[in-house]
Amino acid sequence: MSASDYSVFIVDDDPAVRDSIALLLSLRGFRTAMFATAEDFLRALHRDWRGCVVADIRMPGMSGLDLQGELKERGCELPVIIITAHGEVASARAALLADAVDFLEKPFEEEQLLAAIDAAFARENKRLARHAEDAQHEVVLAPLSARERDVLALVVKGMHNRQIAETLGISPRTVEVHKARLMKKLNAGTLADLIRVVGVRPE
Amino acid sequence: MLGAFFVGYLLLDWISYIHPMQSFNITPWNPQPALAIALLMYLGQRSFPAVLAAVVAAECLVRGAPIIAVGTWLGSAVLSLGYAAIAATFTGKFKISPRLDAREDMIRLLGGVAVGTLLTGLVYLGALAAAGLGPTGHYAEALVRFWVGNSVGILVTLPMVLMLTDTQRRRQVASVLLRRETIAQGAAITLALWLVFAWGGTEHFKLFYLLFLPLIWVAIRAGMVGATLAGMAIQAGVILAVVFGAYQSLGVFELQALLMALVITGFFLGVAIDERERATNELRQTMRLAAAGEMAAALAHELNQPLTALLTYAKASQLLAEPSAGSRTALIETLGKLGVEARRAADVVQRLRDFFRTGALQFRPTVLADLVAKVLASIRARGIAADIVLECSTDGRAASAVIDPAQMEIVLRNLVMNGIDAVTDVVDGPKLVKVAIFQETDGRVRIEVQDTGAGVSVKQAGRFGEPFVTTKASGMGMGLAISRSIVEAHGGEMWVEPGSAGRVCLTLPAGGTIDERE
Repeated sequence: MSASDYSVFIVDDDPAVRDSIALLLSLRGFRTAMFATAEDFLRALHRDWRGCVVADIRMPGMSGLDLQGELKERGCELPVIIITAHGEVASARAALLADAVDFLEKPFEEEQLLAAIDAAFARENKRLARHAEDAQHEVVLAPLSARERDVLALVVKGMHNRQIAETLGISPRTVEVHKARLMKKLNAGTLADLIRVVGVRPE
Repeated sequence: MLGAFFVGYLLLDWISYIHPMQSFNITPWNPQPALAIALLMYLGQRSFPAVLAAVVAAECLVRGAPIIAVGTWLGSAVLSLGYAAIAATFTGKFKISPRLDAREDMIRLLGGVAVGTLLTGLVYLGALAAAGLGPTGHYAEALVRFWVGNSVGILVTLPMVLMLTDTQRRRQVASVLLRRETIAQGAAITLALWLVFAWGGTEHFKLFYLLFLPLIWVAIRAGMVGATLAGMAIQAGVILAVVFGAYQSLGVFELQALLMALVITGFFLGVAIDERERATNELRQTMRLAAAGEMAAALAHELNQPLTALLTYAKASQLLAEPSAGSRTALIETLGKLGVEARRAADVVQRLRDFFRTGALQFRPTVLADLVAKVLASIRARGIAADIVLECSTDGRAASAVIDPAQMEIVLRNLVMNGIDAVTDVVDGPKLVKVAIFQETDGRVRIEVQDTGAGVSVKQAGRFGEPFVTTKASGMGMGLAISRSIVEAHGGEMWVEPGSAGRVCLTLPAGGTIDERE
């Protein structure tokens, strides 16, 4: 997945601001979508959307900060850039604490907006790469039974059979059987192979 | 200036040379030291020789003292030094402002004059006695008379002389004198004087308290300036009565002591009125500043929107103008949008100018129904175009309030426009915006702007009038904030009633609570 598949979702109640940003970004080669309210955006929101959200703070109904919170609530990880015509320390703090990519005061320069979008897309790249890795991981581990996965998790942490047996409340002998089976399934000859295949991942 | 002082000093001394105490030449009314003290305060101690010369000249010309005599020069020197000491007190440690508009100034003035004249009297009589120039006996009585005559003379005259050195006070004196009410007050003082001296007969002192009434009237209406003018008028009346009536010298001194109490009462009342006036003005100013501050923040917000669009469209136009971009129509269209945004920014600035053009709040009694009619007339065309009915209703009484009509017009226009916006989207049902005026039982006036729009929720009502809180897409959020600031600067309140239809209420204080005095 590359940045060319990304879109910039502009949420601002001011038609001229919305329109001008969309025009400029489209001239710069970005795909854009416009929404007059946060509610409109949330109604249209699809889980396959990639890119970033540029949201105004002061809007009738839901504010840009509310939108940020709602996205988080829904597990949507689209990066958010907050823009406002009324720069206040309090709202900037709130936005950044809620993990906004940037906080831009209107009127802003094109460079500032583009830099913020770059940063947002970089974050999106990282997120999607992690997702891909997760998916990959899922594919590799698919043949394992639930118990085998438990054992694997402890093995890659560097535990000995006896410790694993104690932790899981099973006999060391059973641990050995599970271990042999999962190494065969994952096509790993040694412990080093095993770690290379599944990687050491924080739980 | 020194010439004028010299002539004025001699003239005042000559006029006030009445009922002198035998052999001490002490009179019951000595206003001329006030001129000397004011001169010393205004020009500093370097004017001392002029004061000494005036005192000596007055001794010789008015009181007939021999110019070549130790007594004349000794007495004059003591008096002049006394005046200089009092002046030094008022410009030094116990500084008083010539405006005399604070209680502090008044206390210092009274204390300084009382102590200063007493000490001067002691030294004056002591010097005469020591030089063996005064008559024998009666020194205690002479001291009391010196003290009373000089204190009253200075207290009645010095405040006016001092205030006349201040530009603003001078203007106030002129405006008080030119008022129609002053004629009535002058008549009241004359009547009181007549009652005290002519009608009161020989037992004249027993009606003296009547003189307090006109003095209190004047002080309440015109502050310290009025109290000073009234004090001088009453002093003049007392002196005239004394000159043309058959009075014992002792009676005149007692009368002067009473007058002192009268004048002191008037001064304190006048200063209290001035202080209240100042506090009111300061509060009003603060309210206005608060309104202006909110206005500025709101306008910054409103200006930033078109500026953002302008900046972004300009950048886009640059990209569109590149030969490779090709699309001429897109460029022309974008340039058109640039123009629209520039006009939008200009509108905001225009509104700012309108707000400040109204200047300081100018309160005057206004019939509210007339004001509402004026506002509705100016918007009517807009209402008709959108098929909206605009109405005004009263409860039958012609409610009026003391308001700044220009500012209240901004508020009413704002509320009615909000109402129009609210009913514009009504699909079926009446489109009505109505302004209702009620006279409350406590004298306050309530104005309600009702509309048949969607109304607001309880939650929205709680945030009503905060800047930038809006339910409208073309986000203003500032109109109500400014309106509320204006209403509060009038001493009123403004709120919205939550419900299924729009209803914004504001109250204004009962007419006449705001003093229209300058």
